[in-house]
Amino acid sequence: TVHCTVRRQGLPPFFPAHAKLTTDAAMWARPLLRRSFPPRRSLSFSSDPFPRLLSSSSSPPASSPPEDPFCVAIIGSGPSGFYTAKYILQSLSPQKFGPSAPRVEVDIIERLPHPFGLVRYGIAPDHQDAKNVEEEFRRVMDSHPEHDPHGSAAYFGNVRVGRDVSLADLTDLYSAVVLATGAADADRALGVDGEGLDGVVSARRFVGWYNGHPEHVGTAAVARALGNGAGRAHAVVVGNGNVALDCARILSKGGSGLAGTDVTAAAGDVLGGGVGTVTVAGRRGHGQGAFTIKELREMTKLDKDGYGMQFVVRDGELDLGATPATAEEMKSANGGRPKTRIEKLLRSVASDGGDGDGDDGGTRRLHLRFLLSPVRFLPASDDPSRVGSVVFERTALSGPAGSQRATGTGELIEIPADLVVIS
Amino acid sequence: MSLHLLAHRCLNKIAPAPTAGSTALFVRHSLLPVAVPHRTGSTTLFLRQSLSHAASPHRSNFSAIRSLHSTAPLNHGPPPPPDAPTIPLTFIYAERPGKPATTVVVDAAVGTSLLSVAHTHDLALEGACEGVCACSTCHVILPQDVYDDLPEPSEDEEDMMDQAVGLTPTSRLGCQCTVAEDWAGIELEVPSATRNFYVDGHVPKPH
Repeated sequence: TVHCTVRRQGLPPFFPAHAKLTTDAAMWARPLLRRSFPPRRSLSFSSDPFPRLLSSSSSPPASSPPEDPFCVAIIGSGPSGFYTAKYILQSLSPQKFGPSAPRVEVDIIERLPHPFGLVRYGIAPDHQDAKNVEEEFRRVMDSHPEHDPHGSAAYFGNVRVGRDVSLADLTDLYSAVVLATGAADADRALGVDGEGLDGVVSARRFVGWYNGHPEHVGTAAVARALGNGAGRAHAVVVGNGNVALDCARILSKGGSGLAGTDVTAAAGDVLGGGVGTVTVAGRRGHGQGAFTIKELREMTKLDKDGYGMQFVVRDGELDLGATPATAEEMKSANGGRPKTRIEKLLRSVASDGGDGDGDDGGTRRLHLRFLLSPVRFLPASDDPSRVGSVVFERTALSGPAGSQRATGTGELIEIPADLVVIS
Repeated sequence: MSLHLLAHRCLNKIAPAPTAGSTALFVRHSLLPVAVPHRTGSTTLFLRQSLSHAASPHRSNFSAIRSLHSTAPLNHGPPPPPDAPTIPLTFIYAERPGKPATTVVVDAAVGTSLLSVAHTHDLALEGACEGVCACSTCHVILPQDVYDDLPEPSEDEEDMMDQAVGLTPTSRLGCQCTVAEDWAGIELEVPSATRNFYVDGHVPKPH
C-alpha cells in the first residue's frame, strides 16, 4: 500500500523485501512504527526509561513528559503471555501507577496464526469450560488507543521470532521483551528399546493431532495404529498426569463421544466409536500420580455417562502403593486433602481386576494401573515396524514421604498395544 | 445472535481495529466463519478448525458440528439489576511481601455471587473460568457462621477446591456462593495467592 511505501524509508534493514507470510506488509510495519516514527527525543532520562517507569514514587520530570510510549514485546500468546500483558497494562495504568503513568503499548507475537497457546491446543475438546479464560484474554485485546490512550495491546500471529524477526531487533525496538514461549517444542525420549517403532507417539503430538495444532494435525501414526478399527485396538498411555488421563479419555470416547466438541473431524473419524482397550500406566502409586480428582472422577463415570467404557482399577495395585510413606503424604497440609479424596474415590470403584484382563468381545475397558514402568516396546507379529505390545516391569516404592521413588522388582508384565502414547 | 454479528464481534475483539491498512494476519487464516447447522437446528460458529482442515473442507462420516463454547460465555455473570438491595461486605486482602493487608468495604447486591460482587466493584479476585466452577482462582475464606449456614458444596466444587492454595476449613469458591441478606457487615478473606498467580518467593511444585 502507499502508506507502507512511505514508511519503508524508516525501516531497519531486516524488513523482508517480500512478505511471504503476509500480503499486508503494513501489518509488519506496525511494531516498527511505534519506535521509529516519530523519531525518539534525546531527553536526559530517556536513555534508561525502564527503572524510572517502574518506580511509582518518581516525580514527573521538569521538562515535558516523554512521548515515547513504554513498549513491550511479548513472544508467545498463551496464558503466560496474555497474563503478562494484562498485568503490565494494569500496573502501569493511571489508576494503579499514578498521574505520571506512561503510555503503554504491548505487542503480543505468536508463531502460530491462532492465539492462546495451550488453552487452544492443549485443553481437551470436551473440556470447554476451562477455555473460558480466553474471554479474559480477549478483554486484554479490547484496550485500544482510541478507547484508552494510556495502554493498548496488539496481536501478531504467524510471526516466528528467529526467522521473520530477530530477537536482537526486538530488543532494539522495544523497551522490554518478554519470552513467554513455553517449554521446548520437542519430546524427551524414554530411553527404552523399541521407542522408535511406528505407533509410539508422544502425548504432545497426540494432543496436537486431535486438537488441530497446525504442526501435529498431520500425524499419521495414530491413523496407522488404529487403522484396523479403533474398537478392536489396544492403546497404552504411559504416565499418570492429567494429560495422560485426557489422552485416555479421548481414546475412550472416540469420535462419536466427541460429537459437538471442537475435536478435528479427521481425529473423530480415526477414533470412531472409541478404542477397545485403553491402559493408563504410571510407574509410582496412586498417591503419587499427578492427576487431579476432577479428571479421575470423569473417567470413573464414563460408563454411566453413556460412553460405553468400563473403568477398571485394581485393589491389589492400590494396596501395593499404600506404603507408610504414602499414608504420611495423605496427612500433609493442603497436599493431603486432594490425595485422601483420590484414594477414597479409587477404593470405592476398585475391583480385583480379574474380569478386566480377558477380551470378552463386547465390553470396552479403560484400565488405570500403577507401579508399572515400561522396559521394552515389542514389535507386532504381523508387522515388525509397528509396535505390538509393551513390556512393563512391576515397581516398588521406597523412600521418604514426598519423594518416594519407584524401583524395579524384576517381575515383567506384557500388555498388548497397537498405539502407545508417552505422557 | 446472528452469525455475522458474532463473527464481527470476535474479529474486533481479537484484532486491533484496523489502522491505516494494518490487519491481523491470523484472522484470514484461522477464523473462517462457516455456519454449520447444529443437530437441534440452532446455528453455531465454526471457528476452531485446524488449518489443514479449514483449507480443504472434506466430507466425512463424522458430522462437522462445532461450537465455540459448550457453555455460554459468562463474563462473571450479568451485572446485578440496578434496584437490587445491597448490603455492605468487607473484603480483606491478606498481607503479601512488600504489601500490607488491605480492607475494602463494598455494597454487594443481594442474590449475586461473591465473584460477580468482586468484579462489579473492580476488586482483585480472579475468576479464570468465568464462574463455572472449573478452576479454583476465586477461592475465598468465609467466617465460620456464614460457612455453616451455606448449603454443602457440590462434589464439583469440592473437587476444584482441592487445587486451591491455602485451603481452610471455611473455604469456598466465590462463584458458587450467593450473597444473602443476613450477610451484612461480614468479613471475607481473599488468600494471597491462587494457582494462577503466585506471590514473590513462592516456588511452585512441578506437576
